[in-house]
Amino acid sequence: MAPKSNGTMMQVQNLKKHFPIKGGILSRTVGLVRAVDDISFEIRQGETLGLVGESGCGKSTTGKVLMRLLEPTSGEAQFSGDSIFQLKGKQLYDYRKKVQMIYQDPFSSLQPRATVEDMLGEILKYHGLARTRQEVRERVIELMEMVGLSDFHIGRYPHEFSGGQRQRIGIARALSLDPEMIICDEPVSALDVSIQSQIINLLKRLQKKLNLTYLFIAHDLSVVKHISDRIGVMYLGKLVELTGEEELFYNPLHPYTRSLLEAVPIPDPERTRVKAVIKGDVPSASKPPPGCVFHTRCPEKFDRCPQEKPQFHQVKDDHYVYCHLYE
Amino acid sequence: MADQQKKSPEIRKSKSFQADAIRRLKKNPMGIIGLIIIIIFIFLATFGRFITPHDPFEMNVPRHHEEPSLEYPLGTDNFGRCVLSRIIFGARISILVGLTVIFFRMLIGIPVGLVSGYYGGIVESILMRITDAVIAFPGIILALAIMAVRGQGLENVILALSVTGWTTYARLVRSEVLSLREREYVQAAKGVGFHNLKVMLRHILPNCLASIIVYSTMTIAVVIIAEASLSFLGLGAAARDATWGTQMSMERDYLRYAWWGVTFPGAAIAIVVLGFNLFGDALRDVLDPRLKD
Repeated sequence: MAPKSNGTMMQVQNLKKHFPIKGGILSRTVGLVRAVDDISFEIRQGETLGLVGESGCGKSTTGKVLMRLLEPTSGEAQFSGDSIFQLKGKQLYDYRKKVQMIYQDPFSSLQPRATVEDMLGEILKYHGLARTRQEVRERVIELMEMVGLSDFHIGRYPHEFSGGQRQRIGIARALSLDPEMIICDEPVSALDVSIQSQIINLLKRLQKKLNLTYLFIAHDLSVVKHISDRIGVMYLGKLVELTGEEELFYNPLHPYTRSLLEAVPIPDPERTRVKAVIKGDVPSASKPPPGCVFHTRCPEKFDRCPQEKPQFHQVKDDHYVYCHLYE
Repeated sequence: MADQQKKSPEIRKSKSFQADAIRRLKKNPMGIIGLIIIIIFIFLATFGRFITPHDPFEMNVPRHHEEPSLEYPLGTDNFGRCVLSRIIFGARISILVGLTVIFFRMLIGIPVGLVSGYYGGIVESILMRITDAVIAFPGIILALAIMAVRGQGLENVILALSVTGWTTYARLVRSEVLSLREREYVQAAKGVGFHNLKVMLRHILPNCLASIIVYSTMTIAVVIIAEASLSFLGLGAAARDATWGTQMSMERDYLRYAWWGVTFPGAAIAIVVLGFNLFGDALRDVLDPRLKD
């Protein structure tokens, strides 16, 4: 079952998203890609929940489903008490104001034919947050300054900005509706390392100033460590471990998390490297292994693993693991 | 960019893509030639009736099939009418047919492509199968059949050419939409709560415009030829109308001793088609987003 605590902002239970594989002349469903397969977690008011995993593990899909850009296969998610997947019309429109998203690729996330002012103005007017030209301009400039751009930038087109600047505009778009929560879908993975830290620090500042809650999706552990309060590790559509940031780095329990942490480069040439503890590749999400999905690569596999699916359960206070070792 | 910042502390809209495209078009000599041909053509179509040296309908039978001379720069036809005047006057019908046919094709094709690309699934299957069915008819033969049933006349020419050609628009727009709808800015537009129609019209359609414009420019030429072909076969505009196709059709019998009657209307078609093709080619280069810096 999903963990519960006070001040829950979003509660996700048994979320599944399966993509059908169509084949044959009649395009029948011949298989399923289990992108997200039965995950449960909660996001608490004001925190940053990091979600890490290799590419293809379902972390971005999770974000898009919670944003209602994709329909879930099954499962339940609640945002301040409302069931997200049942929202329609006016309720969905209101949900959009409260939960926004920052997208991965700053080069394709901005409409190439609109200036910054036009793009943000369209959103503000649509939601009735600014009516006159003057109001729009003032609010757009305010947003631009919030993300560290200048007022003279608002008449420009996206192709005139650098990657980092574009991502700032993407952040301004997410902020334009004054949301309570932002889903950050790998917001820095397309940027240079030096720019990455600027954007991360900007996100942290904005969180403090505007009292935001983040779901921060990334594949880079060091980035996630820097910004997150709690971290969830995903593998092949499953959430395998979920705990506080300190706990995860100093006391990782799941064999997959441990091998991930081993792989984080440490700038010390003297240090003897532990050999990579996991071998092989991630199995296909359309044919996940029986039992525990990680057993094909797990260094601590025993006879129960290929036969029985482990439960995602609490091991100690605020530390959840999907593994037979701790049952 | 740096000095622009110094010069303009006030907020100024950057050069739009359109302005940028015009700047790049100016560097393309073939495109400019095409554009000049099109401008002359449109000018003749609009003001033709005021600048013809003779009345295009005035018959002067005793002076039929006169060679080009100072009085009749391109000679006279079978009824002694001035060929130059009839060509100038015929431009009006060519452009009228060209533009209205393109307009009606877009009116059907773009919504079909947009909706089927955006929604996908069963909607797409139905719309695209209808499109395939229309494509399966040979265009010019269907047009001939329509003309045969409904009789001669410009409005029937426009109808006959519109009901077939919209399919290419539908396919063109659909294929663009298929790739555009996966872009993150389209996702983002949905993510901020815009309704589907707004996403389609404001965020997807403007980004398909480049290919629609290029395709339309090229297609006007094809439509002008199709109209001329129908007229040449005697199934286009009424014989008394001075279209290039009817003119060629009537004069074809006298080609052996009055070459100018067929040659000049034919040359007019060729030049205008060339103009639209050159301009369309240049537009494709100019509007190609990959060439943008």
